[in-house]
Amino acid sequence: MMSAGVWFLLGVVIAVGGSRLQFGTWETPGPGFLPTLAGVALAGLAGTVLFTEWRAARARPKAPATVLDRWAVWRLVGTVVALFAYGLLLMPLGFVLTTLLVLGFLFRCIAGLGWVVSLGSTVAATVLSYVLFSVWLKVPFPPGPWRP
Amino acid sequence: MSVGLSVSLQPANLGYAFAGAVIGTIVGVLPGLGPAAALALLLPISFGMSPVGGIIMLAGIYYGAQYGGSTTSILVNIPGEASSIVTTLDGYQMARRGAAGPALAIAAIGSFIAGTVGTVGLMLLAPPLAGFALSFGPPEYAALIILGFMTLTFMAQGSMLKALMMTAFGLFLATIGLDEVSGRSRFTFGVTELLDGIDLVPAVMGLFGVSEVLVNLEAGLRQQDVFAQKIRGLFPSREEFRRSAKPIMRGTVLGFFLGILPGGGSILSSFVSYAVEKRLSKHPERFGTGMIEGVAGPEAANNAGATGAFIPLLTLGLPTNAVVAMLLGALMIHGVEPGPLLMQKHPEIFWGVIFSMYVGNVMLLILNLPLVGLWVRLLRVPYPILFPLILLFTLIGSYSLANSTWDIHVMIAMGVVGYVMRKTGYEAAPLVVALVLGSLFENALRQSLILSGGSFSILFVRPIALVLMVAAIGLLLLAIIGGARVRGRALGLVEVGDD
Repeated sequence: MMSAGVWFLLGVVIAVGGSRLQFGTWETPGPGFLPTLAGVALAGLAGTVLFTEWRAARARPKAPATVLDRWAVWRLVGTVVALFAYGLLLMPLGFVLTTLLVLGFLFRCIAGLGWVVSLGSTVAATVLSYVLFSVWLKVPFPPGPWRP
Repeated sequence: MSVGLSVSLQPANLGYAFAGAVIGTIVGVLPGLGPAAALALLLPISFGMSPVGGIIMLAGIYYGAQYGGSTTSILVNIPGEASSIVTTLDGYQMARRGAAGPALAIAAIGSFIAGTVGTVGLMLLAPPLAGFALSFGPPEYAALIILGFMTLTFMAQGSMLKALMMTAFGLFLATIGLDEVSGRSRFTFGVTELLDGIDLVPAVMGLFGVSEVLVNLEAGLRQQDVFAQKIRGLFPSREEFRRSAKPIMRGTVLGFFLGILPGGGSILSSFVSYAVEKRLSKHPERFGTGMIEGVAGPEAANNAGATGAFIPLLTLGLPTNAVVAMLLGALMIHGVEPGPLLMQKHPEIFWGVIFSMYVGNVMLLILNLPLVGLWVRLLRVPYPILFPLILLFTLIGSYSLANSTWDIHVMIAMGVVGYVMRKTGYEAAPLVVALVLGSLFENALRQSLILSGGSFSILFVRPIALVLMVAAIGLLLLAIIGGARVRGRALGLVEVGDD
């Protein structure tokens, strides 16, 4: 039910934002035309879902809330943080170093593999991906601090 | 035609077709690197080749990527490109049940049949069908896209209302960036990268690929939590072949005719095919749990659509999507102008490309079927080792689009959004299709309203648009009635089998 509420609010925000962009007229729709319609549709549909879920929730007994175990939370948060870190570090540190660091973290700290397997997998994956993408497909990866 | 056959069978051109097919398959398999990126990277290589050889290789990459894109959809729930999104719905579920081999094999066989039949259609129907496509104006496009949205609603596994919500949200996302008509920036918040809008590739990789990894990480890291321990035979059973035959035929016809239409025909074709198969099935409720019909039809449709997209290109010089636009660019760089006179002025190119597609399809089947075993072995890789590799490929794929880390962040953000959506019962497919088609839909709708003086009746007075709108409303009603029956069964109000 909370998710429907969030979508409802988002729809309202989008509709308001769209209306400020110049809706235009039905004969000459402006840049705000489709965003406003999309926002109104989203808010309207979410409101309907919200209402039906609220009615259904009243009719049935309250179910116990689902709680994630802390390791699941760690895996999720840790992975997302690692991915964002990849995006932030790629330019300053370059492809090779960033990939080694982030993959090493994922293999060792998230997947829980041993040091030897983690290190081997990290190095192998980094080398193979560098050969495949940079050498063969000529993707211009940032060189990092070792730029000539 | 004999010129084309002899051109396509020249050793050099056979080599180019094979190279294109191999590269296209690999590109299609690699998450994030779609045919558009591959063509962009490899276009300069074609400059040193003859015009025929260059186009044959680039065309091989295009339809080879269609074959390869289904592989990642089935194995790891990451669509190689937009037209493979639908394959994830049932193909990935088949892989989780230990049936990745049959799924991959049927995808390859269906693609081969569709590609071959599509090539025959291309040869026979090019000029008249291109003329029909020209009769599509803004109201027809708007109605066609509305039909596409309603198709998605019909296909929704869960709530129809939630599917429509995601369509509305996808349309909003499609408006982010510069408005094509007024040049005004919308919802960019001063961020320069947002002026180009939300790119489809990182959005899809995030919504499907990253979110899948996050869901699996939450569940645990044991292999058996993700994939069935026992992977059964590599090829479909006789029963699976029987069940796939008609979906492949239907998908081929649907995909071919929809692929002719500009602006996403090949994407729509796979979704329409899925909706048709679900509607015709005796067990529509099982779609989304690993039905082979849900793989066979859409895979045939997207390959036939890719072939159909060549018709406007070769006969009118009209590209129907970004990938075919690059092929148009390649032709022009080689001094060849596609259009109505291509057949007369350069018959060796026109017929050479068409016959090379026959050859290419055979090569792709020979290449892909034996590789089914290799791809399936990927699933035996322990998931704790597999998921970082999947994430790495998506990171590289996002970055390689524009050599920008912005796309990486978009992908991650969409991955988190996709994870939350999955946990709360919202589907990503309607959002993605709306994102793909939103810009075309907005332009078509605005132009239609300008033409009609602000009246939506224009969608109902033009014959083609009327047919499409009736089909769209029909699908919506079917979805509503179907939902009512499900609720009725749940409440014991409708007898099971009362269809």
